[in-house]
Amino acid sequence: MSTLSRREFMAKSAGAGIAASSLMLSQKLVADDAWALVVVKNGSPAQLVRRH
Amino acid sequence: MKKGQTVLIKPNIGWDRLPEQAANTNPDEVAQVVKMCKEAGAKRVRVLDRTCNQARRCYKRSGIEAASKKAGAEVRHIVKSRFKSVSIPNGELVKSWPFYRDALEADVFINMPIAKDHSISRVTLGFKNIMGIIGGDRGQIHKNFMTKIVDLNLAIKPTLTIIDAYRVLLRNGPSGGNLADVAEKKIVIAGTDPVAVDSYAMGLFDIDPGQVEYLKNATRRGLGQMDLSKVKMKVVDLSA
Repeated sequence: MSTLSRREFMAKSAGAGIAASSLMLSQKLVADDAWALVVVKNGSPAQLVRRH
Repeated sequence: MKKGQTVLIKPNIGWDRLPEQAANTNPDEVAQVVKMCKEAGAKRVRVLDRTCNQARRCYKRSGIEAASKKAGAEVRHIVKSRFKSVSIPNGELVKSWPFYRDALEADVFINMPIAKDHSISRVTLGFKNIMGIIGGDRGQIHKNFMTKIVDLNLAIKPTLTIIDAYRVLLRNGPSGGNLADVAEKKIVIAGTDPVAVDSYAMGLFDIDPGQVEYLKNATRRGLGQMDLSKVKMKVVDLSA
């Protein structure tokens, strides 16, 4: 499954459905087996970012 | 992200401070994100912020301008004519507000705040970092902040939020200055759910996210999940 691009998301969000679209995108990311939150600890600034 | 896409990275470059003072996002982290976007095939990566102190000084002293350019980014200063009014039909107090075109038009928008204390909003994280891409009188947002900041975040949702908590300014924010107020935490928190990311980061300040009005508002209005037990989360400890 593919996720919405940000441009697609913005297009879907136009009008009254912004909150609903946000929720839909969040749910889709979870459904696609994507992580919602990653925390990296105890590295250099570059290592902390790179490990994501 | 996909090859050929445009990326806008929005760090906090608001203050004429050195990285060690932890008022701005860590420049090495910003540079690393720029590199990763370029490696993934980004057509263009831009870095910008609407600063509080003089922009030229903030961009230089933060180290973000030099580090981002070296990594291959276009570093831009804010130009007033590039703000565009955005309608926020679901806004409870803010029904429209000017946003910066580069953020609205980018394929990928990466919100990259530093976690720090804030004299008005108590802390500043991802939600508040959005204020660096809005025009108008930002002081108005600080009145009824807990509702208005959610209204603004309804208008533009980051593709990814990356919170820099390598150094955390625990007191006297947002500008700080005293190194005694800075704690070295060596943490980066990233996620697609902006509510979850801010909720986790509240722990850095010993704040229960359940007591933070804007996170409760944002969850109620569908922007994400503040209950971290319901969030798919991974913790990586590089020292283990």
